[in-house]
Amino acid sequence: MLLINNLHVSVQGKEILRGVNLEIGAGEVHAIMGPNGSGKSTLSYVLSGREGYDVTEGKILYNGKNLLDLDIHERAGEGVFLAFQYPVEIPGVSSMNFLRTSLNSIRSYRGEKEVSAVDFLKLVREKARSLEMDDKLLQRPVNVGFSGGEKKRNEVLQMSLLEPYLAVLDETDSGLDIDALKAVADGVNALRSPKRSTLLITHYQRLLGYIVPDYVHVLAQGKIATSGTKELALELEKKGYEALGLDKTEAA
Amino acid sequence: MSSVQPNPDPTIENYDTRFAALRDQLPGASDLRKTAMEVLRRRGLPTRSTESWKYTDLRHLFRAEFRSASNNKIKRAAFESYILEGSHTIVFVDGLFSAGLSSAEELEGKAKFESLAEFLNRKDEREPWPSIVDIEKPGLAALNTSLMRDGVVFKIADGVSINRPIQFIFIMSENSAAEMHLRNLISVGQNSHATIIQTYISLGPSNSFCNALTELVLDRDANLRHIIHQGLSDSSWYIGQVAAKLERSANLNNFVLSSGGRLARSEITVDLNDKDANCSLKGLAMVRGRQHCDNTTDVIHNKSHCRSSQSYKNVLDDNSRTVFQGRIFVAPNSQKTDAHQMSRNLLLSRGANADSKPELIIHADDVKCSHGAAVGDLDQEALFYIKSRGIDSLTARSILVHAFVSDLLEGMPEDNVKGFLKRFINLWLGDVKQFKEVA
Repeated sequence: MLLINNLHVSVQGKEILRGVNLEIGAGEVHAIMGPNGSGKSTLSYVLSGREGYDVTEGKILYNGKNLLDLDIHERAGEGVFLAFQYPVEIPGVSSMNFLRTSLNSIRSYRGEKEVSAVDFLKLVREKARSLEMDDKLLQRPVNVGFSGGEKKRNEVLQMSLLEPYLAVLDETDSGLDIDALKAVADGVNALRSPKRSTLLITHYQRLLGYIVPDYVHVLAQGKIATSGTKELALELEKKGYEALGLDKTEAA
Repeated sequence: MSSVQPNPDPTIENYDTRFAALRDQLPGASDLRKTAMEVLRRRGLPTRSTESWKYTDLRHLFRAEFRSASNNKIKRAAFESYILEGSHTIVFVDGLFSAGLSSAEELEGKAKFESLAEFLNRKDEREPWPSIVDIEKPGLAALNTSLMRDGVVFKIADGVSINRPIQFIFIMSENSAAEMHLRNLISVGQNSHATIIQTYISLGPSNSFCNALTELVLDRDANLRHIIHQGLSDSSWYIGQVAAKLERSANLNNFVLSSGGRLARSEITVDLNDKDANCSLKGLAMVRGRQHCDNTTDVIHNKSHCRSSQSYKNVLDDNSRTVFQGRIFVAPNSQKTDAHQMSRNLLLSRGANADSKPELIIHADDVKCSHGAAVGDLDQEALFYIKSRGIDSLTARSILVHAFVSDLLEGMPEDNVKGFLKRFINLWLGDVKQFKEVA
């Protein structure tokens, strides 16, 4: 599904990722952990195509395609989804219109029929309910006036609507209380299938108790320092990054 | 003591000569015209050293040559798309009233329309002229008063509601290079309600100069929604001035949509003349190329307990330029005044330039007054967020520009007037891919 090979990325001339290698198979859930400034968010932005992140070396293959050749919206069309660490507030843009435009853009990219207004409303209400999200929130502009937890639920709502093949969740657990965390985890787990893969970027082991990863990687100083199974996360939680000799990262 | 004497201005000499030549053709008001020409001669035309004209330079306008208005024949089909459906429509072509193109039936008893030319011709010269405009104020009011030829005289009776909007359409015909000094006198009687739209459009290329001065008099408890839609060709010149006077508890909602003109200036002066008068002024200018668009306001709180709000937005592309000058004046003893002003500019290109100048003069102490201005480009974070959801770049930009302008139309009743304005806004925004609304 996803093959990252010797990926080097610079931001404003400063090298953040220094040779990342990662392979994610279809249906797998991978977690990337690591101290602050290790390049976790940079990896998520490079996957989604954000401007300002220069790939100086290496490649990313996604379903056999060169991901770096695709525009941001094309990547979304191909099934890459990024749940933002800090979802953006967009005043003046109704959530409903935004979600429907998004869904229909992706459907038309895939050559599928657009969803009618009526069907769309039904679909959104159903998804919101399963995330225990008040659908009145969606009458507001995108993320405007949402609490931190509501914003994260909204990210997962978008994910469940768009049904991506590769979901990248950037610190989706941060700032969530336990109920919200469970709801978000349920949303992610509901999408798990042999066709869909997930990349969880997280600081803490906590989320991994709810979304059990197949593999855990530790990113430090712009490289994957070590990889293992879910037990690695538990070990990190117990001993800290320092015990693995990974604390001396520069802030990025 | 005399103020600084302007240098002999060849343009004024020119108008002077034309005034002399035209005097016999211009309808009525000869004394008034003469006085106005004297004011013009004494005060000169505005230049950039005039404080209120600092950002808008009229030199090119006064160097250009225009013809006097002539009544070109056009067909209704040529401007059908600018007609607000269901409105009473009154049409002017190249500055002159066209009875044949107008349809203003069913106004009988509620309101009376006549053209300014008719009005001036029948009016007794000795009758006082009902004007509320200060022709001494720097600008083109004195020029307008000395050379006005036609326009709207529209009087709404007391205690009536005119349910259908009234639309005045001022058309510059194709290839016209006419100069027109339009004067509109509109009054709304006590406790009456109406919606009036003034549309200024060009049919094809035209280098016309439209100097329109509209006077609005709102009697007690009158309620007027007044919309100006200026969509002239981008080689036209437009100076549109509105002078409004509001009596007790009168309410004026003014909205100016501007997208035309190589140089356009919309100016509004509102006198809140008695307690509880209320005005809301809004404007949206959308400009590109080398267009220049100026919105200048002057809200005068003469009495206590009046409210005013001003919200102006500009969308600028290419090398265009906008100006917003907003003035709030609170007279002594105008306590409990509530006056707010906001101007926001969205720059879509590096070459665009927006100037914003608020001016608050407050002589009372128990008031709520505020102002603010913002200039910025599209939010890159928001653009990335939208694109990451599968929406292409052009559509993403269009969504954000729509979002920027959307709140200006909020609060407007959900009727065909709002739809009409939205249509022209969308037309300008290119409507790349419609950002479909959920029903």
